[in-house]
Amino acid sequence: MSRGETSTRSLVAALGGLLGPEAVVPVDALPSWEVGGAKPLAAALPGTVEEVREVLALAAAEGVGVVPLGGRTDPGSEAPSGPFVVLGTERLDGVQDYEPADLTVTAGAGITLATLAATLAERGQWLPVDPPFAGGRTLGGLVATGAAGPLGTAYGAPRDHVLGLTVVTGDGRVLRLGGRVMKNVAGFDLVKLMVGSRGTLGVVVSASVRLFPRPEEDRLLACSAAHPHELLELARAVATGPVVPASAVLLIHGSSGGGATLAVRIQGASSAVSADQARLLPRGSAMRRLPPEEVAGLREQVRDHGAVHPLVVRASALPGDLPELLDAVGEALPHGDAAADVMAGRVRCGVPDPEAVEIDALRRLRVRVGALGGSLSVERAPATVLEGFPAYAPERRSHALGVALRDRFDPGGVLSPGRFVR
Amino acid sequence: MTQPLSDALQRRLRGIVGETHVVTDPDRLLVYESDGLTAYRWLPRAVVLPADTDECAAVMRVLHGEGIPMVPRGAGTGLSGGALAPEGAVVVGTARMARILSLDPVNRVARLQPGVVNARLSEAARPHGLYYAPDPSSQTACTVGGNVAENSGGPHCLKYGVTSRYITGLTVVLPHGEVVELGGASRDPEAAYDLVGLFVGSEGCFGLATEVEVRLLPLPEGVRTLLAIFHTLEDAARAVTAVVGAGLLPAALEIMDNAAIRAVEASVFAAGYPVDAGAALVVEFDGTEAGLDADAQRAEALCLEQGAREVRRATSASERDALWKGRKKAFGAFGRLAPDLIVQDATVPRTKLTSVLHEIMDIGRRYDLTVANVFHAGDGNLHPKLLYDRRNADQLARVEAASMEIMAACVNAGGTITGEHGVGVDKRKYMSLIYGEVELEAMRQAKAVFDPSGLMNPGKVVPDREASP
Repeated sequence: MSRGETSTRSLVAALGGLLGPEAVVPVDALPSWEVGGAKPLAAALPGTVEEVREVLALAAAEGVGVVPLGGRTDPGSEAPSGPFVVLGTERLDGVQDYEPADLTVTAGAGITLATLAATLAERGQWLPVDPPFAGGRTLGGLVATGAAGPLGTAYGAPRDHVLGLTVVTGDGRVLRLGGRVMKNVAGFDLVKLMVGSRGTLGVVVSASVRLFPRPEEDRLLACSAAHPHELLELARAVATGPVVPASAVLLIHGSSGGGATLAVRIQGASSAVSADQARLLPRGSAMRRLPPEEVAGLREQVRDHGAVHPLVVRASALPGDLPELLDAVGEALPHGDAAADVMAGRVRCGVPDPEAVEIDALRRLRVRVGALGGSLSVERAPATVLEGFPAYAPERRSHALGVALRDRFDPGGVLSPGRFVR
Repeated sequence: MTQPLSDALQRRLRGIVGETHVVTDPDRLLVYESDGLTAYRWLPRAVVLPADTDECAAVMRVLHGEGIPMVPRGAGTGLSGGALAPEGAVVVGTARMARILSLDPVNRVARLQPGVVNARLSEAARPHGLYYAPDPSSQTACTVGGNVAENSGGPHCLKYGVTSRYITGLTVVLPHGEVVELGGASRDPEAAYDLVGLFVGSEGCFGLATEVEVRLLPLPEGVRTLLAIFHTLEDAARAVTAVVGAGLLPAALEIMDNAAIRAVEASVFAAGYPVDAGAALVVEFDGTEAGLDADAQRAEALCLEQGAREVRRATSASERDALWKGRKKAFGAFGRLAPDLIVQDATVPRTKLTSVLHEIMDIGRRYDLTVANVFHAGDGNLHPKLLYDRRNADQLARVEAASMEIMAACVNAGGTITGEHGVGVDKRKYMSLIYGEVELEAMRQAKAVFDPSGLMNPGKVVPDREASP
């Protein structure tokens, strides 16, 4: 369904009327607010909870969808199913309440993780997450995607860190869920439902999260090989060893010759880190401690490897099935750059030349991953790929519950129509 | 008085689970009339004990078809009345679903039936160098299924988090008998709604989990346990803030106040705490051996700085066990002091501990009640224990009034009405202290998705629409 230019102009004017013209993204800047290759009618930047409600109400009245976006680092691959406006959260920013002694912070959804991290670092604390492009992500985006990154096994995922949320549901209800205390079982855990719901149940306005003291030492060990197979034994030893490292990621450089690097991050008190290293690595292992000048670069690769490409898929299985999972991914996407989270059994693989990828190869990959009990999702893709291949394979035996929940929290179908659980 | 099940219905249920696993004899039903919250006694209409998912689904299908409310029950150790059977309800117990189905040391996951006792899971994992982290104080009795329902905590949550962090997948029977699979360790958690997270802590109101997949952790290489003795409770609370503020992350930080110390020392669980101390603080570190002594020394120094009159170190496993025994069995130790006891449960921001504890003691004095505190100080999770005699109506009324004031004090300090015991029956009346009608309605909506007919553990957690307290 296309909308006339006149009605789009009047929508933009109405948004400007609600929020002020400075809170509406100029038309010529809209290409950078695309979602799954689809251009929004407008992008609005509400600055208060009330303004979020007004944008949702206006969109509902106009019959257009609303896609909430934070730092636009991980907007998802699916195009909305109809005309839509983007609700950008960048003006819902700022630290609202930071009590270092409580190890908690409450901040607006639009604050970037880099800004938040700088505030926390002043007090020797941090939020231990490292999904791709973490610094540019917003707190709200972290909540909406639920993406933990490789630190998740050791520290927990956003679902474990988020203590409380203020969200606005699709039909404009403002829900203040959870709180800002470490343990809270008062009522059903709607916070968990919201975390990772990708803007389909509510717009995250602010979040309270639990923090951790920064480790005294943060060490990165690495080992490279001409082929990932040479590192699988070592990876398995790390994953099943007596110490849980902060993260362990196998990087596969499929687009540049097929070499591989295993990167293991160990954190803790200085006295413990060396002992952990010795306990974690088999005798005679070729792992070496990275010189300081290489640490930042490899740490960035651990986080972002493969995620920059125009086609990015994510495959999961049990950690013990990682060799089979990597075989399957390597066969389907031979020139992909993959980052395998050794502890979690998850692989992200990006392909620089999506034109070369056959849809059938992706279908076969999904079947093979499914046979391992895992799932395959598409983080990013050109629209042509997604025409024949849905970004998410529905969870077979609980899908109806998800759809019904969505209907309760967004009865009008305003939020992210046609995306995620549907 | 509640109606017994018809003979025909009893026959149908016995046909599913076997003759002896449908309990209708009033004497045998007495076992199920209350849980760990002994102030309430509600006799169920019957108790059905299925052996597996299929039997459970068949039982629930029959009960649903008859419009009979159902209440899931594990070991009945819950402290908020979640397993109490309201008028006309049948209890579906998990006692026969007590097998560990698989334990996979490579992937560090186990799959088990809900009736497995918490401590047994860790015992089974130990030969593989693994354990199950959540350790509620009742862990030798409570079931993992009950822990899932309550999202149970325990003393080691400060470092390791609560039950929800360790549940990776669930097989759930919905009230109408449909079986659904939620999550799974092999699934991509970012590719669907976190229905496992939503289900954990739903207190039996969404369905009955008949299989639980859990994540196991490698056993820590070493442990150091300190016991710091303080003149006052305030000093102990300040020491907690100092330890956390110094960037240390203990596995546990537990405080017992003078009343609790006295109760423990006068009981069979005596652990050698000085009875004249204002408070005892247990500080525990675990992890790689090499780092532990340094952590323990720093914590000891911080405790002394905050006025600890003595810091003891448990040097052997048996000393550590004795020290923990006093803490974990504190609940039982109060049995000597009064016929009845209500354990309150609330969480406050850690920095508000001292002021809230003052308020709690003051409330106790005003209502002329004995209040003792044993709590997870690191999490700010308070457990004021109010002693009473249920036969004394006036005293019971004072306990009720004091409990409400304690909850209000915790909420006013930015806290919540329950940190780990759940809402159940007991705390429904406090829900409106922290949530408005809009949040409560959203919770009702979530429940209705799983339980449209409202037959699953009715009358629990969320107050009814009209009757807000």
